[in-house]
Amino acid sequence: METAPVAEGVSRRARPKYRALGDQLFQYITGATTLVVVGLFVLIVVILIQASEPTIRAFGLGFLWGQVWNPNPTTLSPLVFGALPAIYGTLLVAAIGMVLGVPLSLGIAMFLTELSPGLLRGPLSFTIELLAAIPSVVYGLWGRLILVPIMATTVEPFLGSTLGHVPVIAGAFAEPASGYNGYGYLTAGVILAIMVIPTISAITREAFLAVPREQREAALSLGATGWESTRLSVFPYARRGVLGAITLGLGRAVGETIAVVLVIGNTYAISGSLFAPGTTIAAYIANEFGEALTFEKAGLLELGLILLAVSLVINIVARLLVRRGGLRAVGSP
Amino acid sequence: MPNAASGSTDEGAYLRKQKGRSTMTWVGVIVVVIVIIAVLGAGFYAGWFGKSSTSTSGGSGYTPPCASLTAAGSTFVYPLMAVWTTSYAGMACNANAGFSQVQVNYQAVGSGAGITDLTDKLVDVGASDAPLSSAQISALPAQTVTMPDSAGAVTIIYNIPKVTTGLNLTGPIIAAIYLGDITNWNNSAITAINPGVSIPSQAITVEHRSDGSGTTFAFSSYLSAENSTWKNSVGAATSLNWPTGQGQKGSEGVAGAVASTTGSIGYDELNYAEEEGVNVGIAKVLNPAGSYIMPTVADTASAVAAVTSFPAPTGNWTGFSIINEPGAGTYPIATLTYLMIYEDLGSAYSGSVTQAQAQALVSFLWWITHTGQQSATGLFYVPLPSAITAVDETAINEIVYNGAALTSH
Repeated sequence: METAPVAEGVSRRARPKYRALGDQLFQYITGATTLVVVGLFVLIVVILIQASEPTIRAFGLGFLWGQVWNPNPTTLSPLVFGALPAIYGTLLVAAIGMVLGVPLSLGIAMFLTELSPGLLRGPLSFTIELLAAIPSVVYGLWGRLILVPIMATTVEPFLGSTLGHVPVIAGAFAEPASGYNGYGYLTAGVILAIMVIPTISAITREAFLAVPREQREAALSLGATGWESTRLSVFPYARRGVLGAITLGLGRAVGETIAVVLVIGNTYAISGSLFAPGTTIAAYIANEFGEALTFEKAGLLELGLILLAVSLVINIVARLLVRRGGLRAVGSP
Repeated sequence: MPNAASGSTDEGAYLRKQKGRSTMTWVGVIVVVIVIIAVLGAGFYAGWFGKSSTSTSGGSGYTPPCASLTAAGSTFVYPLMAVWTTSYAGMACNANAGFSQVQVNYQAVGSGAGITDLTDKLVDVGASDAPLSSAQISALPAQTVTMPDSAGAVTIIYNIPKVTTGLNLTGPIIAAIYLGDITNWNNSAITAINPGVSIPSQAITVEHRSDGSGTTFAFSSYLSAENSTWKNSVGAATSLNWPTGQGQKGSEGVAGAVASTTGSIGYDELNYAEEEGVNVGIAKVLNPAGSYIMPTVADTASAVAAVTSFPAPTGNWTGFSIINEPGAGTYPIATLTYLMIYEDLGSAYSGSVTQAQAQALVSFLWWITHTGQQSATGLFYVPLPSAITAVDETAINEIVYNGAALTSH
C-alpha cells in the first residue's frame, strides 16, 4: 500500500477503499483503549468535582487564597479551609527540584550520548536508571536520616551565611527563628531533584539518540566545534523530546508524596525562606486523609482537584513555550 | 572525527551493542533469580507454606474457632497489639473453613482512620486513643461497645545541649511553648522551676505530629485543661491547626526529630521515648498534687487506678479522660486506649461476618484483657487494673451475634 508523499495540506495517509479486516479491528481496539484511558481521566475529574462539592459551596474561591486549615472548630477558631500554603509549597518545591534536576539530567544525557567512553556507557546508564527503581519512601527515609542532618549542619548554614547577605535574595536564605534544622522546602527540593534525574535523563538520552547522524555531521562539516555542533544540531531537533522529559519529571515532582512528607517539616504556613518548613498538596492530603471526617475529606479532595489543575496548567504552558519557540522539529507532527 | 553517538548504523557498534546486551541479560537474570529466592525464603518464614503450629492451650477451657479477623486504628497501641496478635495466633483453635489459627490483622493507620474504617465496616475492631466523639457516634451505622484495652503516658521529650533527662515543666509552660509564646529554653519561667540546672540560651524548635493521632488528642486535651487560650483557639482533637512548630509523621517521626534536632521539644508515647534512650531527655511534669513526676509505668498506673467510675460499654464515653488525675505520685498526662466493636456482629455487618469469626473475636478480646495484660509492662504500657477489667468483661458480654450470646471464655 503506497502512501502519498508528505506535502502541506494533503492528508498524510491516502486511504484505499478496502482494508483488511485485521487492520480495521486493530484500529478499533487501539482506538477503544485510548478512549478508555481518556474516559478514565474525565471520570477522575468528575468524581473529584462531585466529592469536593460541599467545600466548593462552603468556601468558594476563597479556598484558593485562604491560608488557614483548621479542621477542629473551637470557640475562637472557626472551621475553615484554605489552600494557599499547600499550593505555594507544591510550586516552590517542584521549582527547586526542576532547577536542580534539569541541568544535571541534561548534562548526564549529553555525557552518555556524546562524551563518555563506550565501555562506561552501559553500566552508567543502567545505574542511573536504577535510581528510578528506588521506592519513594526509601528516598524519604534516606532524606530523613542522611540528608536532613547534612543540610542542617553544613549546607544551610553555609548558604545562609553567604547568600543570606546578598541584597535581593536575602529573604530566601534567611535563617528560621529556631535555627537551621534541615526540614524544609530546600531539602524536599533536593530529594525531588534526585528523584526526577533518572526519568528526565533517560528520556532526554533517547531524544538525543534519535537525532540522525547527518545533522551532526552537517554541523561539523561547517566547522563547528563539539559543543557547537551539539547546540546547533542536536538540541533543536531533540527539543520536543527534552520538553516531554521535563514535563514527565515535573509531573513526578508535583505529585511526590511520601518522600516530601518525611523531610518537609509539615507546617501549614507560607514562608519566604527556603530553609523554613512547609507543606505540599500531596503531602498534606497524605497526612490528613486518614483522620478526616466527611467535610474535611471534601476539602482534601478539592485540594487534589487543585493539584490536577496545577499540573494541567504547567503542561499547557510547557507546550505553548515550545510552540512559541518557533522551530518545529523536523519529522514530528 | 569526534566520537559519534551510539545507536548509529555502524556495523561494529551494532555487534558490540549486541554483546553488551547479552552480558546485561545475564546480570538481569541472576538478579531476578536472587530476588525470587529471597522472596520465597521470606515467605517461608512468614508461614506461606504452612508452618507447624506450636499451639498452646488458651488455658481457660474454651477453644474458639479458627478465623481471620481485621482491626485497625491507633498507632499508640500498635507495639502491644502486635505482640497480642502474634501470641494469640499461636493459641489452639478449632479448625474451621480452612483456617488453622486465629489470625488478627492489625493496621496502625491512626485512631481516626480506624474509626472511619469501622464506620465503613471494613474492619471488625476499631482501635482509638480517643473515645468516640459525637460526630463519630452519629456517623456509625449501628451501636458499638467501647472498652479500654490499655493505657499509657504521653511524655514530653526534649533535646537541650548539656541538660540531662528530668527537666521540670508545668502544663502552662508547655502550652506557652506550643502556642509560640515561649521561644527560648532559658526563659525565666523554665529556669525558675529548675533551680539546680544550668539551661543554655537555645531557641526552641517545636515538633508535633503531622498526621492525625490519638497521642495528639491526649496531649491537646492536657493543654486545653491547662491553658484557656489553647482551649479556645486550638482545642483538643486528633488533627489540629497548630499555632507553631513542625510536623513529623508518626510517633517514631517525632521521637527521631527530637533526637536529631538540637533545642527541640516534642510529645510522644512512653515506649517511643524510652526507645530513643539517651538521645532525648524526658521531662518531669507537675501534677495536680504539686509534685514533678517522671513518666513511668508505675506513675501512669496510679493515674489509671485513680479512676473509679466509667460509662456503660454502650454508653457515651465522649469527653472521658484520665488527664490530671489526683494522687501524690500520679503522672498527669495519662491516656487510655480503646477498642470499639459493633454490639451485634451479625446484623451490623449484614452477615459478612460469620458466627465463627464473632466467636473468635470475643475470645480474642477476653484473652487480651486477661492473659494479654501480662505483656504490657515490658513494653511500657500500663496493665489494666481490676476495675477496668470488670468494665471490659461487661463490654465483651454485651457483644452478640444476631441477638444470640457468644462464648468468650
